[in-house]
Amino acid sequence: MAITMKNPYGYRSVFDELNDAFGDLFWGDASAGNRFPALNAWVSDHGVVVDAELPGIDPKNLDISVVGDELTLTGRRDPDEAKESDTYHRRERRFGRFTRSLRLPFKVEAAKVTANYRHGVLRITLPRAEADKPKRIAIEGA
Amino acid sequence: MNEKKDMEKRKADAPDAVERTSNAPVYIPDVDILETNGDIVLVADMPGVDEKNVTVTLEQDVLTIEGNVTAETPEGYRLAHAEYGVGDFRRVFSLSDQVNRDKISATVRNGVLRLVLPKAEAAKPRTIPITAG
Repeated sequence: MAITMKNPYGYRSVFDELNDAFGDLFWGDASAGNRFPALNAWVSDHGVVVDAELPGIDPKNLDISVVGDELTLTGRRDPDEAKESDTYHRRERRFGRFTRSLRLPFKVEAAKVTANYRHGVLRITLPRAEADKPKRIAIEGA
Repeated sequence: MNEKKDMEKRKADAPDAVERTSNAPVYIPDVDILETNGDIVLVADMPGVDEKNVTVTLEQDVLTIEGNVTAETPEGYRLAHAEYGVGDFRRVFSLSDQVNRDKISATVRNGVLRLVLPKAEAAKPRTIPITAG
């Protein structure tokens, strides 16, 4: 798991990453350990918010899908157009297809998931599934 | 090991001896620099930045691009998984004389800054007409 920052609470992340070694087709490099895009996630009792830095993407090329407690993000960034006569002095920005799956700490309501792409940051808000919310059990007197 | 570093957001190391007043993290944006016949085009990835939060300054022959990002943590949630940090962007380049300083244009779209630096007349390729002699 190429997590570059420690969970601030010091214990293991509540998230498990699905085995996406075969799904990480980013710039043709399928080696595990290349996770793109980097994700940040926040959790509450009511849902999950996932942020991804995805500058310069056309939202039409983004595909977000949710099944139960699994979130999958797939997309691609197309390279800028350049003519034959153009020369690159530097080429650091990357292009191509990417896909990532994240297992969430609980099931979410797929129909109520919203996504917002602003200033190059994608924010996905996933409310917890009603059926998955904890229920208080009343204790009957003996 | 280097591959992993490539994927991580690059933090500016030991800033150029000029420190900022706050201790907030500063990142180096990935940049493409492309030279066409008439311009030099610089494209920088600065997710989280819009045109109001970008500063491009040219002093002597030093070009500085800066993007200011405010972390937007969702209310009522706790951070559970962090793979990247959020902070400002900054990168400094030295330009050669071949740029027409008065006609530099900058646009920001979806967190990407695009700077077009037109080449000064003297630097444009000129085709020499060939006559039979």
